[in-house]
Amino acid sequence: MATERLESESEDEVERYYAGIGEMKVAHNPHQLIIMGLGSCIGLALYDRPAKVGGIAHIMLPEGKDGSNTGKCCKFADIAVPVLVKEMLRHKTAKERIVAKMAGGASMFSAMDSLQIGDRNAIVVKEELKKAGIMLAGEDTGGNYGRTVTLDTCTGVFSVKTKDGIKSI
Amino acid sequence: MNGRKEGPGGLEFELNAFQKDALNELGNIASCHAVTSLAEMTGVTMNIKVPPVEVVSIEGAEKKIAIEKMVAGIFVQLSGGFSGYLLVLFPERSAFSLIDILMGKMPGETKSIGTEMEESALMELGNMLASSFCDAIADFFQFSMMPSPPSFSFDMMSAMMENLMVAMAEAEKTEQVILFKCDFKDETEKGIYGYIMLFPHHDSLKNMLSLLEAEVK
Repeated sequence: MATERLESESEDEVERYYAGIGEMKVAHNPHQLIIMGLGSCIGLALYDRPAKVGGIAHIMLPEGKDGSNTGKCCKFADIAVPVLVKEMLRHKTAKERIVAKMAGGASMFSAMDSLQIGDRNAIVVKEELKKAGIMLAGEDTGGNYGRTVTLDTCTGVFSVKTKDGIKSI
Repeated sequence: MNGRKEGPGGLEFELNAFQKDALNELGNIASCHAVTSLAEMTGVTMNIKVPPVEVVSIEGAEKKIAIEKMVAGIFVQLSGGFSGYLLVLFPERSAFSLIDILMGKMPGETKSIGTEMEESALMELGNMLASSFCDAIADFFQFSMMPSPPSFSFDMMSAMMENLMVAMAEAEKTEQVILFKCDFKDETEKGIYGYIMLFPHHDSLKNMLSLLEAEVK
């Protein structure tokens, strides 16, 4: 499973962990979790502030067709959300403290707008978060631009970088 | 297609040596055709390099591209006898140089893609490349290929590629695409280069391969 857990908490240098498509990463203070160049995909970040543990998933499509998919666990929103939550809980977090933020779900070309991949992704992620009982604290989804997202497990800041600049949500 | 089988992630395929050769040759013909028209339009002589056709997965593609690099992308959807997606990419600097040439500016004058004029100039150029690429393929096979009107984006390379591959993954239930690539570069120091990428739908690719085999026999 594509997760990272580091043993010593204090003297670590800040490391950056990148989640490729369909992957998830979980890490704790002071490391950073990054997803680069999101288009229609969703970057979902979960964070437990008291525990300073964060997790991100790079989600590609809303639904895994028949559940028989043996590929990367976080390709599909309906599978990725529960899997990421479960992985967070393995890292001494408490479900009631976890909050979610998400970004992505764009449509890069106007000719692709009718497919609504990004929009559908965002909807299913939200539904799944609701099912899991996790609050969505912020989002930056839709639009027609790419995003790189970073979750800082030290501060809990979820920043979104686009061609126009960086903002925190 | 010979190597086509149902895998856990959907359809997977491998090309045999003959199919690869044939597709490489086809890519060559189409690329030369397209880049010649680019050279005519800009008055810049271009060198073409056509790398071998590749079967890539979404994850694989991610590793092969400069993820956050800014590119101007022109996207065209193909329908008719052959369907799929076609993407023309100009890296940021090349896009600026091309705008300089197309709009009669001093070399180095363009530093951003701010106006609609600049955007449509590039979009038309990309569209022309796409059309001549398709024309060559359609001529070769004697089938129709209808490109949609182009759409334009100036953004991170991976965001565009990802969007197309994900759309393909959803429609075709596969996470692999056959990538025809054509790199072109000008002879002078203007530093213009770009890529043409074709993502055929499986049925179209299958059809194309059987036509190629028939051609040989």
